[in-house]
Amino acid sequence: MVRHFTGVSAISQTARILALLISLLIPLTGARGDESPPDVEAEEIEVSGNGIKGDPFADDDLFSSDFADDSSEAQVPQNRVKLELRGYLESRNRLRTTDSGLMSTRQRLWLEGHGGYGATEAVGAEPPLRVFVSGAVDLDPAAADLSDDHDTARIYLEEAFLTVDRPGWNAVIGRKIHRIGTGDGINPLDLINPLDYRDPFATGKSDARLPVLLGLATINLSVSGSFQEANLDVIVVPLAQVNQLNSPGSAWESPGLQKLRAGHREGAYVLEDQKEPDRAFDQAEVAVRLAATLSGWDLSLIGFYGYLDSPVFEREYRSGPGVMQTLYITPIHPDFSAFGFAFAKGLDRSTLRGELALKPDLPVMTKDNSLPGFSRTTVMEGVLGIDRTFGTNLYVNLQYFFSRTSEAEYLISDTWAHGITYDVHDTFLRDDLEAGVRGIVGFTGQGWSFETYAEYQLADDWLFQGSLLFFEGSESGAYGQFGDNDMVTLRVRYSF
Amino acid sequence: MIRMTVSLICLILLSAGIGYAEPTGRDIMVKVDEVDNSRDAVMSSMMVIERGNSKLVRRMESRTKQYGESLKDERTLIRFVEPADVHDTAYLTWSYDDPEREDDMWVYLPAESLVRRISGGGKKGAFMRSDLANEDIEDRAVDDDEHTLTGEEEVSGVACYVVESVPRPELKKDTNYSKRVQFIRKDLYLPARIDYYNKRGKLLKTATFGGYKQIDGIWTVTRFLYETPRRKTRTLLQRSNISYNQGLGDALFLQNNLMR
Repeated sequence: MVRHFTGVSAISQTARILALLISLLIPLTGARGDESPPDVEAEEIEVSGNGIKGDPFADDDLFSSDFADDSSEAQVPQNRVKLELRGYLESRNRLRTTDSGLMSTRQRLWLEGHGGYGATEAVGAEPPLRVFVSGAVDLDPAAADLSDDHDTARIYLEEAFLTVDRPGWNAVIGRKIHRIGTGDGINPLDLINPLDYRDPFATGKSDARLPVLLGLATINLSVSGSFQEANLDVIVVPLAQVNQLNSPGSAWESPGLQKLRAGHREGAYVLEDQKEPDRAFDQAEVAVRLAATLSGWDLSLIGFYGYLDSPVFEREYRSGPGVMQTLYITPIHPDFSAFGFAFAKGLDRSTLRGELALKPDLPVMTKDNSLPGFSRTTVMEGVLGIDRTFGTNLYVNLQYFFSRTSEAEYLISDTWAHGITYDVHDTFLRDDLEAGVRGIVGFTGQGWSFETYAEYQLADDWLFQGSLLFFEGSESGAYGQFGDNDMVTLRVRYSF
Repeated sequence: MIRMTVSLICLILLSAGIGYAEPTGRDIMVKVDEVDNSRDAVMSSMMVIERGNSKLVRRMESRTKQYGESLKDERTLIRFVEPADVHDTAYLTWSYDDPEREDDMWVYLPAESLVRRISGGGKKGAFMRSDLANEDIEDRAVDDDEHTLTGEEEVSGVACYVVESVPRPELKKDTNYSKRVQFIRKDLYLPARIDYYNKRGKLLKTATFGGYKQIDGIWTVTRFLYETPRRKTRTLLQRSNISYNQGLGDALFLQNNLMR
């Protein structure tokens, strides 16, 4: 009994000791392993002044003045009307270096407004109905003196569109610039928006486009496996918009067009007015884009049907009052189709981009005087580029582009045309100053463009920019034709 | 029986000893990483950059959602509100916890109506001309650095772990820093201060953290002060309108959603 009692007692004592140790250990180890956050009310966190202990900003006024209006921001209501207005005032002046003539003295007031309405999907999400409108007042007496392309004063609407955003799809309707290519400046598949004929060069290596009236529907496709995102875009332009021919005297009137106009003035033929698409829905443009992100690759397949942006010159003999036949030359914009593929891929500190477009039956001008002045052939165009940031901010972008034209022996195009675009820039003065060079070099007679530029940001509102842009090459080349337009640009912008 | 009792006590004390062993630097940083266990977050941020007499102001709105089985992958959409010349510029980032996997990044440039894929090459550059580098605002995976607990120290009167974080050798080329010395509050597992050292091992800048708030049950740093003594500049950053677990939809974090 005693032994038994002793045995029970020893076990009991051992159990008591174990229980005591475990009871001591649980709260200590539990404090370390407890996943619930520490609590002020449970006095796990010490309160001090306006915050918790150890908060260096709880009681000082470092944040209170600059951030006063920030802290007063209310939580976004679930059903809201949001209106914002902003813009800039800009003076942009361009001086031609060849004759010191002023090409442009554009003074611009740019305004843009956003509006939104509707119950948001979640706090911070955009409202499902959104409106964006932008427009400007331009005064450009120097450009107006040169040609009819510019009025001395012009008030215009730039973009104006409504976005409807619903789960699984969204739609946009209105005047808009919509880019679908991935190339930098050279985009064989950006066929929706025509060139801004008043100011065709945005920079030494990229063009400027004009908005068009369009409808765009995007459907988010369900994805699985390696697919991370997939969309189907359908874009309809009810009436195709095309490149306007520059008026006589314009800085951007090509030498070829000048010669055509000279022949017309001399009576060698009749140069008719540009014949633009003018039948809405009959002469619509349609683009379809199937885009997917797959294991870090952005891939898209693009199909397009529409009208040539740059005109071809149709030749036709018509009988006059007598037996003589007169040659009529008409700038027209025939229809064509394009199919293509675009991609982009981030690789460490670089990004690869490319586009490949096949344009079967593309209208191209013929070399001789045969009728109707142009012929249809198959053209393949491509761009392959890479950009990379070296060091902290040294950005380098190189791109190779080409086009291959079938049966080119009868056409004004060469079988092969190719070249490169480049952009190298860096930042200085605590990133307030950006400076660099950019341009295009054609290897097959297109000529080249070269721009060196610097832009300085003063505080948040002011931008000062200066650039020198040169064109060189044969008069028949895409860039050489503007050899007389070497220019200095000075720009001052105040944003508000 | 006594021998068994002694053995059990030793075993328990030993296990208790293991339980009380100093955590490693990585253990601490894993805890720091786990403080924000939200599935998604929405916030506004305002930044004031002080450069001598001038002040630059930036405002942005950001949304973040966690992905993957362990919710370690992250998608972030940042849309700029100010300054006016970058209004509506938006960045979309899909970052992955797997250090071998490249992040996916896109930028929307409203003036050019263009969504562009970009690479992480600009990580070392300044974020919007501030004292923050682009790498300071991105989600950094715990194992992007090797963490060493070097001691404990009081910062602003609270006890902190001092953790030295050195980038993994293969990631050294992508960072401005040779190391970051992080002072982690022992009570909240949030940073109180981070000292950033440049590639030559000299102190480059300091970040001080505060404005600690418990929002939707998650302790959050709402105020940051970055100071770069050599440039004589400093950046104040404040987060506001923070809400967690709002059930943000996946569509918010698609390229398609970048355009206005």
